Amino acid sequence: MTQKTDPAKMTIIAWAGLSRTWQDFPADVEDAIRGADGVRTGFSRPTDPGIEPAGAGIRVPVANVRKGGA
Amino acid sequence: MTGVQNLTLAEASAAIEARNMSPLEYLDGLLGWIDLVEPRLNAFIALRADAARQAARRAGDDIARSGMISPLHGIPIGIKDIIDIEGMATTCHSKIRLDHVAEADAQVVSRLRAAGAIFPGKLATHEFAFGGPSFDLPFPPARNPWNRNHHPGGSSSGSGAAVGGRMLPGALGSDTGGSIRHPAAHCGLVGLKPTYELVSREGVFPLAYSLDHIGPMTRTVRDNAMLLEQIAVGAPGRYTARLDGRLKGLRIGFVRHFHEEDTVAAPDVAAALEEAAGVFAREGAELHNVTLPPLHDFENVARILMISEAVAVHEVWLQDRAEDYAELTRKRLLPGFFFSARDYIQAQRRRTELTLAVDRVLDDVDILLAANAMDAPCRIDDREAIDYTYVRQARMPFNVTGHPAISLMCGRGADAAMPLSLQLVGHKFAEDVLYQAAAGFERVTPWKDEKPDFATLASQPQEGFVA
Repeated sequence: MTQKTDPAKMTIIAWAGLSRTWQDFPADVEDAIRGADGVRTGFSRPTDPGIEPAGAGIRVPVANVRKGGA
Repeated sequence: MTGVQNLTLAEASAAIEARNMSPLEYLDGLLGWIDLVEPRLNAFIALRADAARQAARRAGDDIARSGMISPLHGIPIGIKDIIDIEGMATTCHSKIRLDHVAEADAQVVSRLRAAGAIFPGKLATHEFAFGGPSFDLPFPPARNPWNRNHHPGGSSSGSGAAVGGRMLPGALGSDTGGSIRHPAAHCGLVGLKPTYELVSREGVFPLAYSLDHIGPMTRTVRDNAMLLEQIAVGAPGRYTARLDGRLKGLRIGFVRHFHEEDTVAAPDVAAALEEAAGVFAREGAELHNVTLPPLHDFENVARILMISEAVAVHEVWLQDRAEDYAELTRKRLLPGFFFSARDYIQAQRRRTELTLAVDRVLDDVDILLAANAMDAPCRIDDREAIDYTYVRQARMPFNVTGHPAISLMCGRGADAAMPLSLQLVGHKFAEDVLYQAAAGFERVTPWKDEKPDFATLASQPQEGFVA
């Protein structure tokens, strides 16, 4: 079976909305799928269920503001 | 006037204030220098000399009548071409945005304009502040003024080349994964990534909104502080107040494991960092080895956040006109389509832990000393070396955590004598302490006075590479 007709891969690519992009740049899209796998497993997940996402507005620890100084 | 390119921002400002030089004389001197070196460095995407001259003439008249409204009055500042200037295209160095003309100034430009600064042009970047040095874009990539065969770092590559090439005394860059500190490192400059949200991002094309920072790039620490004073939201007048350079008693945490274990630095970089630590110790600072989470944890969290957020911006273009991106940008963005919501949220949760870990270490010290780039800059046409070295860095952690970080020159490389750099990291919103430490290091080391070999640069061909 060629990569082009791999139904599982094509489903993922279609789900991502990249069917047209895959037609023009199949190697780039397939590299992206492999690359994403490597990154998502590249850090340890928090084990404490109480850890919340940082979000965009990084919370500034008030105690630290203006604390530094020589 | 000739030779004005060698003035620092502070020196130029003082000369204008003393009426020894008018803004127009200063600008004309710089434009003459730009004519000479810019064809070899490609720092500018757009140069508007006539409009800048008009603004300089106006500034000169205003200063003669009423004095300077700020130390930046009549000073030309470069703007990275992802930041809006009213009436100019914000191309993001991309075919996709060639025709986009900004209807208003970005807030950061608006603040500089209110301070009397002049904007001679827009500066090169990696495409959308993300890709790398690419030769398949509408504009050529900026080159390194220390050796035009080498890359200047990125993505604020034009800002690095323009200030390092002495075409402008200061410029704005953006920093999502190190894009101010990287070109600052490779062009021998001072580059500050401020605390997250200290400088407004309004009117700046986003790469990744939760990691994006805007900041100044200059040749000296004082110049950097002068620029930040004008662009920081709600903190004018603070950063130049403590530049006496006193290091005695400063508590410094040295993050050795970043460059000794996590990503092993090139020997010349490691030696320069040790030498820098010795300088701080000799000047009376207290050095302590500290341990942060592994560098790779920060990097992988940052990659998921950065690429996911970037793809949210670029989604439709990547689906409909992927051929209009540079190959490198396209390849770096596409993985973002294949991360899940779970991946993104786990990365944000891990980010919380990483931020708290850095805060805990900073509870016991005033600043951190860490590596910046793990290697000197390689040739700009060596794609393999670029792929290898671009990711070998310790800048990303502080985009993840939002702490301020400053890049300073600390040596010359073993190969081709390119600049080497260190990084100082501070408590959030304690940029004044960071500047004090940086000024102290700058005062007792020779690196501020080092400069590229401009005579050789000016004699080189404008195209291709030098043998």
